[in-house]
Amino acid sequence: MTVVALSGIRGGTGTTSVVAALGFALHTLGQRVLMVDLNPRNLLRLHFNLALESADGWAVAGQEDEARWSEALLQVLEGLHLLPYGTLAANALAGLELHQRAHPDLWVQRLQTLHAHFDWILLDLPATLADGQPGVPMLPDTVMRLRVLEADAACHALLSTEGAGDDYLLVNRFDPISQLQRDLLLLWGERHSRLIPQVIHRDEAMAGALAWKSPVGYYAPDALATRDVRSLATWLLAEGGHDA
Amino acid sequence: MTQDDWKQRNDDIARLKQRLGDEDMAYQDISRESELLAACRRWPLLAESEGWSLQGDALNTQTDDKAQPV
Repeated sequence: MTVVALSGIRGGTGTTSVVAALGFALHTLGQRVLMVDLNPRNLLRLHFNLALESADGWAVAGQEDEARWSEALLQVLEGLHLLPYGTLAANALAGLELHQRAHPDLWVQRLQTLHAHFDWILLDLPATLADGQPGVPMLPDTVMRLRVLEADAACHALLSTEGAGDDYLLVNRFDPISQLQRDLLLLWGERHSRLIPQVIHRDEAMAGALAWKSPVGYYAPDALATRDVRSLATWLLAEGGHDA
Repeated sequence: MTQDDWKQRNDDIARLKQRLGDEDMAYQDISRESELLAACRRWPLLAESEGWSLQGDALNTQTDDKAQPV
C-alpha cells in the first residue's frame, strides 16, 4: 500500500479535484483505492455525489466513540472507497483538535488498520487552515507527499521562500499559451528534481466535474485533464507503487 | 517548448553523439541556458529567485519605481 498526501502550495490550487480525479484514475487502472478527506471544509465528498447537507464523516463518527471512526467509510464503486471528513460545529472541531494533540499518532494507527485493504490511500490535506480548525495530523514517514501548485508568481514566490523539501511537485491548470507559465515550468524543471514530469492542463472539464458532482474521469472521459490524470496515475504506479 | 520537446531534443542529441561515436563531445545545452536567461529577463521575480541582482545590470528593467519605506 502506498499513502499519498496531497496538499496545495497555497489555497485554491485545485487539490481536492485532483484527489478525486486521481483516485478515480487509479481505480480505472485496477487499483484498490481509498480517498480520505483530511480537510475540515469537507468538500471531497461532493465529487462523489454526496448531498450538500450530508454531514457524515470520520470526524463525526469518531466523536462519541473513537473506535467508530471507520464506520463513515463509503464505497463509491467496487474497489473505490471514500472517507469524508464530516461536518462538525465549531466547538466539536475544537474538541477534535484537543483529541488530535493528545493522540498525535492517531492517523498513523488508523492508516495501519487500513493497510491490508487498499493499494493506494490518497489523503486530501488543506494548504492552510482557518482559525480554530484542527491541524493536519501527524502522518507516517513513509507517506509520499505531493504538493499541488499552479505555474504562477505566487506559487513561485512561496517555493522560493519556503521551499518544498523532498515533496513531489504537481503542476495543475497548466496553460501552455501563457509565456509566464512556460517560463516557470522551464525554471522549476531545472531547479526542482521532484517536479512531476506530467502536468495537468487547464481544462474546463475539471471545473465542471465538481459542478456535476463527479471526478473528472467520470464526467469527461475524453477530456485533456482526464488524459493528464490518467498519465499521472500511470506515473505514480511506476514511481510510488514499488512498495505496494 | 514543452518538457517533452526538451526530452525529445536531448534524446536526439544522445543519439547523434552515439552515431558520431564521440562520447566525450563537450556538448552544452546552450539554448536551454539562454531560455532560462530570457525567462529571468522577462520576469524580475524569477531573476531575483535565481540570485540575479536587479541593481545596475542588464536585467534591471525596473528602474527607480520600486516601493520605498517612508
